[in-house]
Amino acid sequence: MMIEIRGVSFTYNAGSPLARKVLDGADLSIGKGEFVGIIGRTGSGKSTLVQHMNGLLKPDSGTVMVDGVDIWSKGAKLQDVRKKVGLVFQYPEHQLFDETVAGDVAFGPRNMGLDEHEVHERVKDAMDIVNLDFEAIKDRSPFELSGGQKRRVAMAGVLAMKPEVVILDEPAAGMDPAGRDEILGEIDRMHDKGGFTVVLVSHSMEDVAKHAQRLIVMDAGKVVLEGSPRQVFSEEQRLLGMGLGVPQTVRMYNMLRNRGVLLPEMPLTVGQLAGMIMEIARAGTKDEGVAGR
Amino acid sequence: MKMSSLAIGQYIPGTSALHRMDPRTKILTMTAVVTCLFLIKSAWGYAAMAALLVAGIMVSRVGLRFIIRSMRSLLVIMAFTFVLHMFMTEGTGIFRVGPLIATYEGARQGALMVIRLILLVVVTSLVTLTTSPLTLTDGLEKLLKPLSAIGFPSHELAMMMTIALRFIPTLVEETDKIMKAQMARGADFSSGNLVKRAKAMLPVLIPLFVSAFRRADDLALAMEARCYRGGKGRTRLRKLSFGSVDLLSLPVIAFSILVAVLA
Repeated sequence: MMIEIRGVSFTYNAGSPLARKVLDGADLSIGKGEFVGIIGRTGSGKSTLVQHMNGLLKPDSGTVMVDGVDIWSKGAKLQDVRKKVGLVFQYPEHQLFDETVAGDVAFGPRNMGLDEHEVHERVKDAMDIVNLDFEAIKDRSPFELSGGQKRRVAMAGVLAMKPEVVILDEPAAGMDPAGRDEILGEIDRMHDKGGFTVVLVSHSMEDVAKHAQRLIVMDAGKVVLEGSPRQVFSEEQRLLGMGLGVPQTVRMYNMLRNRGVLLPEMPLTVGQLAGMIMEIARAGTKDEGVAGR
Repeated sequence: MKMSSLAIGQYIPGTSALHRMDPRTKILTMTAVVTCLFLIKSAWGYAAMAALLVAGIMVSRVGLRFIIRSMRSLLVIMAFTFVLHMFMTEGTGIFRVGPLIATYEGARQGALMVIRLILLVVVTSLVTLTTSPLTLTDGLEKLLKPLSAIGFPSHELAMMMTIALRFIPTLVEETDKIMKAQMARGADFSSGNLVKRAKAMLPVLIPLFVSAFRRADDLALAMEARCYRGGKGRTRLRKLSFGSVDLLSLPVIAFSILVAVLA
């Protein structure tokens, strides 16, 4: 197991009138090479949970293991944990600071104490993964780029550290549909070609349905559902009860089933759904032709 | 790395007599009490004022914890004041450190100074802990209003204070978030010498300034979109009004003046 979280509880502002318990005994594990989606409504503890995965927050109780090491035990070094587990925050473009794009992306690798040649290579590779033209923008100021480009630069800044796990907290927040698809497509590439273990945090069912292999559903600081997207989406009533929904394709699948049309399996993308409907429609006209109506 | 220990200016909601008092009354009473605290010379006077403030704390029901917390930030100044007085006052010596002689008179004087500081912090915290920042600036604006006849920008000043207070928690949160984001990229804020640490803060300060300017722009735009054009002709949703609770301030002011004159 790459990341194992056992019974983690966390309270913000503990001991003051503003105390807020955000995690309440969360249990989960993430295997090497997986693409996991963490979903839950706003305030369910997703963001707090992922900040435990690289030791930015210390749990009040419970343990966090990364690569078999309890990260809060005496011998463990948080710097090492952060090299293994990269975290891309929500709206990561707000953390850009350097005069040049290349300098900003190089911040992480330089903090790791790598030599300049290695840093240069990593910056190039990382910008390549997120579809940024290294030669064209390396010397430009990150502040004069477009919103989507800024976000890519910030993502490259984490990827350049070559972590084994990349956690992305709402990476597509506030983007238009085209930008969304591009960013999520790049995350797919990180997983498929880059070989990263990917954890995608989102409240959008559509996004995680399309991309993740396994889903973890959070509610009120706990993991309440876990499994493949199809397993999770088959619990529509429970998801609705938690203020979450299922993707539109699953709603369509359920609607058709209630009217007596059973699709071969639950479709997760609009393309899949369209294909299945076409198939049934084609088969249908054939049957009707035979019946001679 | 928690930054929520900003206790000065933290408002604790409540319904006590102090909470219900008009902010103008509170500001005026505070000014009177603070002035009297500076006039007191004897230990008896301090004791009387301390008793008054203990009564105030009890009435406010904010809990001693918060009062003590706001005192913590001034510990260094208090210690410094005490030491300075102890060594700089002439009198019978207790012990000496190099050329400096600590005196009984100095120690006594220093202790009284520290008590004065504590009492000052208590008075001001009693006001800030029981008044929401918004109400406080409203009160201040109203009190400064007469000065606008001679061109004093009382409304603008109050608006600036309101905005500044409003954005302190936002900026604290933002700082926390940016620091975490840079720590996730291997930034280290806690080791190295002073120069190294100051340099390490750059990746936090630059994004923080960028976002502060962005927020300022957004806020200005939002205010203009709602036709904000200064204090002229502006009406209020909640009008300040004096009530019977405000009469409580009269004995407090009278007592303070009496103590200041007698002690």
